[in-house]
Amino acid sequence: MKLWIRILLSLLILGIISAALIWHFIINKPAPDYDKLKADYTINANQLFEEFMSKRKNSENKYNGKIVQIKGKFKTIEQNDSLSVVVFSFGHNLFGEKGIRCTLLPKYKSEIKKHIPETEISIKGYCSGFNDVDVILTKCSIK
Amino acid sequence: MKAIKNLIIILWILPIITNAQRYITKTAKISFFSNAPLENIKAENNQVNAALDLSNGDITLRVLMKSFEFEKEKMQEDFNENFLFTNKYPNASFDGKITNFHDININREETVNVNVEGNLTIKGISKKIIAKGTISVKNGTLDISSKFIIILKNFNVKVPNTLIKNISENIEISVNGTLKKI
Repeated sequence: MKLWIRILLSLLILGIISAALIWHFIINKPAPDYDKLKADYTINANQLFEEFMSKRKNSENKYNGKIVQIKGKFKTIEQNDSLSVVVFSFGHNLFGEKGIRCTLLPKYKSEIKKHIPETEISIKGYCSGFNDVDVILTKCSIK
Repeated sequence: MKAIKNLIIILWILPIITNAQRYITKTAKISFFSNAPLENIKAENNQVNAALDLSNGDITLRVLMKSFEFEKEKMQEDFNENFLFTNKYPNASFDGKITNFHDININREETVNVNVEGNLTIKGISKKIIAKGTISVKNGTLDISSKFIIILKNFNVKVPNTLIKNISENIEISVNGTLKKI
């Protein structure tokens, strides 16, 4: 086989392998296991809420899109067929509690029932931001 | 800035103080679906604030864009960093009215077809939306449901030529939620 054909074939094979690897590891990569991600910030729940209330823009730049672990006394758990939301309350308005709302990963649906409201809990999740009433954490796990 | 923030909150909350016909939820679900030749893309956000005033038909939705969850990491990354720029535009909203709100009778358990008109704001751009939906009265709560199509370029979302077969220009938006009286 001529040398240029060998080079061409090698490049072709290399290209196919590269495309397959990019497809598998980058384009088709599933969403991360948020349970296993390390927290970017660990902070008391009331302190996180106060930061968003007093310095909203700074807090959005700092926490939005980051993994945040919070600790504090939670107020209640809201559960329906598909969702379990742990609510930290730092006041009340006409929309109900205002504070931090943490949507748990489905695997924690049973475990959260063991926790009693008004006791301390540590929760890690992805910070989506502040919606004028609550700070929202999603894909949360109990730590 | 703080004054603007307070004003927004007051404008949202004030109508509730003045009337007891308000129904709200903090767990409405918005999903979107893109049907393109090479792949379908779906994302869901189930931490949406929704409020409906049955006395005048006013309906509002408040959405954190980073709360949308995708099946694949790259989709979420593209959505946040390349298309919607969610660090710069963290919130989206809908402020509108159910034009035939008089058809809803909270004392009668039934499903009513409703017409919704209002402004959808994404990436800081507001566009008028007209949609159809249903509201079901069940045990004093309201189940809301609606589907409509948005065109990405109307909200200055540009799909690069390399992804034109992966992302549809027309995105189907679904809204669902159970609103309780406050």
